[in-house]
Amino acid sequence: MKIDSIFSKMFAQLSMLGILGLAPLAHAEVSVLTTVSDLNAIVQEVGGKEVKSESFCKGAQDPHYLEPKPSFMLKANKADLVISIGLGLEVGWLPSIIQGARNPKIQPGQPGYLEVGKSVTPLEVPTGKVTRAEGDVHPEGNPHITLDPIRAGEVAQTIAKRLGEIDAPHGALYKSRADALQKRLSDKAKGWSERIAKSGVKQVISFHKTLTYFFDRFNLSNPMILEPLPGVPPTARHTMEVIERAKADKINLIMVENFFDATVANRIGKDVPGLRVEVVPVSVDGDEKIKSIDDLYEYLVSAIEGKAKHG
Amino acid sequence: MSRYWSVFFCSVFSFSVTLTAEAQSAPILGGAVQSMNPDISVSVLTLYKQSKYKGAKKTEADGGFSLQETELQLAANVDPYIRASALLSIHPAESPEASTQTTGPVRPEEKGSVIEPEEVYLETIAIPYVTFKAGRFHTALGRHNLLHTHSYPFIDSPLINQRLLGADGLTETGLSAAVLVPAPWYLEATVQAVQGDSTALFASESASDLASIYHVKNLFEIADSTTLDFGLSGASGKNFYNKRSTVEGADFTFKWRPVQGGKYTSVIFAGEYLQGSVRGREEDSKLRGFASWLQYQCAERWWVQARTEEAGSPADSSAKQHKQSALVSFFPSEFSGVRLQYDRTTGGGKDPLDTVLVQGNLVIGAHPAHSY
Repeated sequence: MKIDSIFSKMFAQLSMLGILGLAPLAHAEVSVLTTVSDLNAIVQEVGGKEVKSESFCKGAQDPHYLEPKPSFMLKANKADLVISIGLGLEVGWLPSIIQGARNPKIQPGQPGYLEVGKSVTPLEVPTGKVTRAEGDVHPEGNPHITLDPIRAGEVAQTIAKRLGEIDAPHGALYKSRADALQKRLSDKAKGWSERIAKSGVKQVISFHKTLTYFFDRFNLSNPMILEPLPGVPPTARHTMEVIERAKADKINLIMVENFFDATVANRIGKDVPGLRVEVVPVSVDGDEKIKSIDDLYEYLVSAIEGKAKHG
Repeated sequence: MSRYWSVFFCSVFSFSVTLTAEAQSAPILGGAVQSMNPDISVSVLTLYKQSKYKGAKKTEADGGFSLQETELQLAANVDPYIRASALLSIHPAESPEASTQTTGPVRPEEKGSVIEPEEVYLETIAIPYVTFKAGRFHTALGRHNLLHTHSYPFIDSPLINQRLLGADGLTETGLSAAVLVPAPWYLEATVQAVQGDSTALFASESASDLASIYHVKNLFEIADSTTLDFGLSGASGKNFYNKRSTVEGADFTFKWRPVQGGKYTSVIFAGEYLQGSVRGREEDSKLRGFASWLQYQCAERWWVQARTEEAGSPADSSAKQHKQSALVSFFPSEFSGVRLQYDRTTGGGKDPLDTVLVQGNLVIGAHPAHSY
């Protein structure tokens, strides 16, 4: 037998395998994958037992720099819906996962592909020409939208609407769960706001602009960032500037997102009297104790009050 | 032929000029330009190289500064069914890798640059379980052959890849089907049928003689931090001597990147083995070799690496080449990096050859995809 005919046979067999794959698999639940764990927490609450979901990025991982592991492609191959933040957050890795998944349902433009960042009003949208001389900037705005409980409620509504389109019989159920989540977070936000106001903390230094939405919601200013530019690690000169500013403005808190190295923050904490350093999770599952989106905000508020305890 | 590519390049250039003009007049929504432009990026590799045989008074003539490669990449979805990519490579007429195999000075008239369609293909995005690809592409043979030069773990590809597949690897025109097999682990089976007219390995006189390539990739996720990848591949087709050339390969990659603190440390241990025969060729009709390397990310932007290699004819162990390499690299951002590599090559009937390479690596334009 000629090698070319063996090859033709192999090709035919593999094509058959592909055709068999066209048969839709019977799903009891809607299978959802989210890029980040905060979205996963929202999906689990809105979807309940009608939805099975998992996040690519773990709570303690930096969502900007995830690697598109082929095992993610295998999971995405079986998904009905992939939910991402968008706004450039997953640009380095999600397109590779979707291309490698070989699943037409989750391609951009299909009902199985959802970017929630577009459904809320993003902050820090640059105006004018953007270049990478300014660091790893996001031309569509800051993507860390889920750190705001009010926007998280809006995201829950966007997710419920899409789940309802994919699984119409449970549409009303998804909507009622999203309403409940949105109301609960909105109510709790009032309490968190009062506690933060009472704490006396008005200015917070962070490592990266991860907590922008949280600070904005609770009227906290973020006068300095440890990164001199987004995505650029702290330099000695910039660290000196942070120390001088912290002393001059009597800033009393640095919050370091726990996927960053806290060494520089701890050094600054030693140099500036009265400056407290809190290493905080910024995603659900970012710490053993953070099981829900409520736990995440609760932890951050406690950290501002100086009462947070690691899991 | 070169005139043809000049015309092609000019067309592409004027195309991108048109795109830029479009971008300027496109509406700006939320700070981002909304347009139908393809993703455009340019990656540039600059190289400084010095090599010297032990005991020799002068360094080799093929060293010095060079623009190793410039890659212009355009990619976009054509419609809801197909994605298109075009990657044009501009590099010296005789690539630095090829010149490691030659001795003596390169005549001035041989220098200059060529523009080649390194990869130009369409691939399906709307078919479940299978990606069909048509066009010119890096064939799925082993591990290095699928990578672009700027993604090689070291500055150069392994000796066995250069000697068996050619300095630029096995890039051919044809069809490919990559099936994601429904299995508990990631199992991808790829079969490719290519014309086989671009290298000495496959070059049949008859247009009906297609070369075939097959590849099976397995990836096991041992933990959230750890994966083990194991692949087998092979190729077969008629060669220039109207006889059959065959290649078989095996590769593995172990990767560890902790979930907590994974920005600052990771380890990759990998290896690739290739063997092949070009029946009818007098010299090097059979070749085999391997490369094995360790990459350690010691800080957020720093890597240290080591590689050991062997390549040669299985029949003549005295003519085997051995190479040891060490590399340090610094990546200030996702978009730029500089790498310093030292090699010592021994065997092959020659004195030991010491080589120092420094490579600058940058990309502008569309955000590059993270590799795995």
